[in-house]
Amino acid sequence: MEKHDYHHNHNQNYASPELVHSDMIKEILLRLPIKSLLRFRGVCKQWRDLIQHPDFIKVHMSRATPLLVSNCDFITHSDFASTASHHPANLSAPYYQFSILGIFEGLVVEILPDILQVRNPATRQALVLPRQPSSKAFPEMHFNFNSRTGVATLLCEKLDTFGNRRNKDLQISSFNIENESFLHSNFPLDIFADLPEPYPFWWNNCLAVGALTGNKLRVLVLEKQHGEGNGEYKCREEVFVPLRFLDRNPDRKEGLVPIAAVSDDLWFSSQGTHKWHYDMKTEEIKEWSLIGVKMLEYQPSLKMLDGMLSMKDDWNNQFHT
Amino acid sequence: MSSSSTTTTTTRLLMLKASDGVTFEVEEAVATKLGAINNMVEEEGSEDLICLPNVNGKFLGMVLEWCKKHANNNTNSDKGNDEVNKWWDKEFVMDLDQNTLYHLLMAADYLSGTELVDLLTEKVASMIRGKKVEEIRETFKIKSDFLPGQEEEIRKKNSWAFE
Repeated sequence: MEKHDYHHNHNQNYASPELVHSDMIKEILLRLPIKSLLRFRGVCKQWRDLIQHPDFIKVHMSRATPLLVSNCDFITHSDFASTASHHPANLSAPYYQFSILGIFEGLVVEILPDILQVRNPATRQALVLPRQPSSKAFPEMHFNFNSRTGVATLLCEKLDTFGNRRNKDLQISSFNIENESFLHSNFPLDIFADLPEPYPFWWNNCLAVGALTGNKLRVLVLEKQHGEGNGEYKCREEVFVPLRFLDRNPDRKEGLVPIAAVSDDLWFSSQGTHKWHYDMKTEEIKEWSLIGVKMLEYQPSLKMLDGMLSMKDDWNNQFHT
Repeated sequence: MSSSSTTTTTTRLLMLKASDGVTFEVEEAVATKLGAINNMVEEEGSEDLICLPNVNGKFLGMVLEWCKKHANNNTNSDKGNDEVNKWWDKEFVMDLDQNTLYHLLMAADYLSGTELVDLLTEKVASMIRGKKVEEIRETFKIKSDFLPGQEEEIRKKNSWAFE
């Protein structure tokens, strides 16, 4: 065992070499705010690689205090856990339209009037997502984060002309945020040729297509046919969800669209303005909220996606360019 | 082996010997707050003299002082113990110079004093969070090993963090 005479370097105000090479450096860095860590990436290669390592980023984020925000809130740039959010109404009037689609691992997927982007408010970086050539405005989009696989997907739109349904497939485009790749998938329509307009939505983290038939929601849970990549989906499972509230209030059926289902909870939107929560076990339906208000948990993190660019320090400039 | 230690009580004393030969007589209940010593006691049972060749007497003494305080506070009435410990921890790290702090941290890590490691790393973090890159290199005696332009690139990427 090595012996060290600590008294000899008593007056030097330096860390011992052992400390620099020990796990203690990691323990110290894990306790630093994001702003310090971004700066300390410039100390040396060892620190840079440590701070950028996915495991480090994960542990660091898990120690941050989560902030509860609504998807109408705006998460300001900040390097502290106590990130303040404020309502976009505080921003100038033309930029009122603003919505958070989802939050995962410190990244905020948000829609601005003409931008769809993934932003890390803590590192002040953003990645503007490509838009589909065919989409004029942003159609209804569903965000999904599968915490088991760590993959975030944005279900973008259905490009389909229903007038010609015999010859056409339903196309579902999803954007995989982690790989930054669009996935276009075809779903042969003849499987549900007898259905009225089907809607893609998330069913327990799986892509699914739902349609109201009678007073039931018919759900086809989809599965990729040939592994990853573009390709066709096939139906893995068919589920019928009885919607007995429609027996009593048939007029509620108008404009009712499934949004997402997680275990016994099923959410609908109606007429694009209201959101309903349906408990599949008790068969109770409740008005959930106006479309758009939902609470999300945000934890600042160092997470970065390839291609993310620094944003201007003054966030308002972003709105005005 | 283990049968001989089953009759020992919490008042049993252990002898700890530091790298420079300095010895400390400590109650077992205090010393076993350190994971490394706890393991040695459990593995070797009856052994009363524990040699710690990686820790110097000065820092071993400080680590044991911390353990003693926490052990005592915890045996008193439990009301307000956390507060007392917190207050005492604050006092403990308040006037440490950097050199002592870093050596103490190494000692606490070697002895697996998890709570003490938490306290000391938090203290170091609070000391360095506002420092410039150059100051960090000086403090930790690190030489930049970046290729020309690499460091500049990092600065450019998050220039706001360098202000």
